[in-house]
Amino acid sequence: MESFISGIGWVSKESMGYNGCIKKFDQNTRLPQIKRDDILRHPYKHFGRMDNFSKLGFAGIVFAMKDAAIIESGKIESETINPEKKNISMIASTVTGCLETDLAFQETMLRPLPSPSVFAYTLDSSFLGEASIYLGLTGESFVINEEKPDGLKGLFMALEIIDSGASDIVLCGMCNSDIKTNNTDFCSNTPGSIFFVLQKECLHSYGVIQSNSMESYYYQNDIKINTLYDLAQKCTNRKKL
Amino acid sequence: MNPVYITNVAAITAMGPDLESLYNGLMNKKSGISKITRFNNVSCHASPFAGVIKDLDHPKKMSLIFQLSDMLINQICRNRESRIESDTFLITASTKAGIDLLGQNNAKSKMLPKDILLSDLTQYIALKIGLNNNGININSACASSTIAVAKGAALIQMGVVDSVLICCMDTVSQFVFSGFSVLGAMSDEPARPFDKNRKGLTLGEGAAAILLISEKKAKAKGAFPLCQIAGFGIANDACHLTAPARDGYGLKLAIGKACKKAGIAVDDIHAINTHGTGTKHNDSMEINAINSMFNPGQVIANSIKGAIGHTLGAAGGIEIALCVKMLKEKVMPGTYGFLDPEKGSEAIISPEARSFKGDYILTTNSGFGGTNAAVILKKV
Repeated sequence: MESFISGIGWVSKESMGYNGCIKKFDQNTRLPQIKRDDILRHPYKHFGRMDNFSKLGFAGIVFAMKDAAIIESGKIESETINPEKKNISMIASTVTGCLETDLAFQETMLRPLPSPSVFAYTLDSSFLGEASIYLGLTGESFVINEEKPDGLKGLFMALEIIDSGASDIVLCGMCNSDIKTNNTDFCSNTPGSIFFVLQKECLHSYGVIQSNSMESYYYQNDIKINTLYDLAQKCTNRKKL
Repeated sequence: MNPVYITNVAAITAMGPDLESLYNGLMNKKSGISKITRFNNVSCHASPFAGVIKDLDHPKKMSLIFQLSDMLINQICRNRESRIESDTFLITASTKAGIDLLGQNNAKSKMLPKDILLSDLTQYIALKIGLNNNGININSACASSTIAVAKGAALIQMGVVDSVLICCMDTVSQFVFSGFSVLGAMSDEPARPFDKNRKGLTLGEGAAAILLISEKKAKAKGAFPLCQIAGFGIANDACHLTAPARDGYGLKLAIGKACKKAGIAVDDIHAINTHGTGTKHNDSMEINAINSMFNPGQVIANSIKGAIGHTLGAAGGIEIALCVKMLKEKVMPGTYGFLDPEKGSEAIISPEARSFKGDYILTTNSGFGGTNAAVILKKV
């Protein structure tokens, strides 16, 4: 199975954005607090209500879609009400999920009336729902919780969706908050979000990703890929053609 | 594409410790819903009721989810005719897994309790069964386990693996109970799916295990197929975070994809296990979708959530396990709590058990974030 990589978007402690539109941070020790105008030019009523984990994932997805030119960067972002529906799928891998939001809701449980608006984001998949509403994405959408924080099983399932013809475009990536967990593998990795737009066909791409088993992934035929961050590095080194 | 068969199923619900007790309980119009005593009922709780599993006790410093896992593993491994081999790929489906551990933790502590990650549940099950992989957990709200079955089937169809074990589960915790209460989604009486006077859902807990295997592996093992996974489809409403599209947009897309994958027409479906939560919006959406896709009198449908509660991430898996039994018996149990039909549901839903024709059964689930999933099982 193979597909073109047409867009990459990310949020990390060091920077966020996409190729040609990057905001850098100096000496950030934690992930940035994402503001609406970091991602969208126009007001979007749903953005303010999102939890930090959802903003992190939502930003990565929107940046990747702008990089792939599936949504126009900067020009039209009025796709906030009834955007045209698109058969695009989304798979996000995570280790931490929305545990930070779970803790926030647990705190509100000490009050007579816990917060319904916080509870609405205590699902790891909530941000996929927000992205599907904003972008009008009607394909498959689910989160993979994995022990090994490499995002590759999600990549495999994304390739399967394209190969089976279920969607011709799939957003695939990782999203992790910087909460401390007992997962030692995860602690050695950078929290943040990174999303790729995979397409069956496209004019401009960073190259091709291939896999025929859940254990091995190759970029441009013969470059072995070990994590999604590894893939992003290889893609950005090569630049889009 | 390689055909995919189900050769082993197990289910644990508030109705009893196995699939037989669930099916027989539903056929005998019993309910597993009772007043909850697991945690204190506080003022914000919108209901005193839940579908809890009788023998699930609250152990100190351990999540109920691991106790439930042990019960499920014992049951699925008991079937000697369809053993789970070490190369079986594991997919778990849970929305909140060990969230009850948070209640045992200082709420202000940012250091998390051990075993709270969703992947901790997957690893625990993999280790207990003795699998050579740690698997993955699929999380997509109340459609999690339906999607897990669909993705497991896709892996076998592609020839990537020969067998996939789906283990799905969620428990009733104070965390989730409080959340659904303040969202205004819960009924103060046991849920009454598709009833005109329904007031909302009742939470439940449960677990199911489903073993999917390729035709080649089934033959090699001499395993008897219980049914075939004929098709599946997944789609998003792209409409609202906590409510379904009123017209059932995503559900209809998912059903259409499932029929296409199965290579059948919508007319070939005569029985549907619905999501049927008992909330105003969900049940109306499903009635709209069914009436717009199927001819009048073509299908019968039911919901089991009035009898065992809404088991969240486990719901789809429990219902697929039950559909295996329904397909074998060719009888669909009635919908518990359905007394006064919602407009449009009269010819579809019944409180009585009914036989159905054809070789297929469709089961669907929908959830927060606009997610929808459909699986079609075929009699073998």
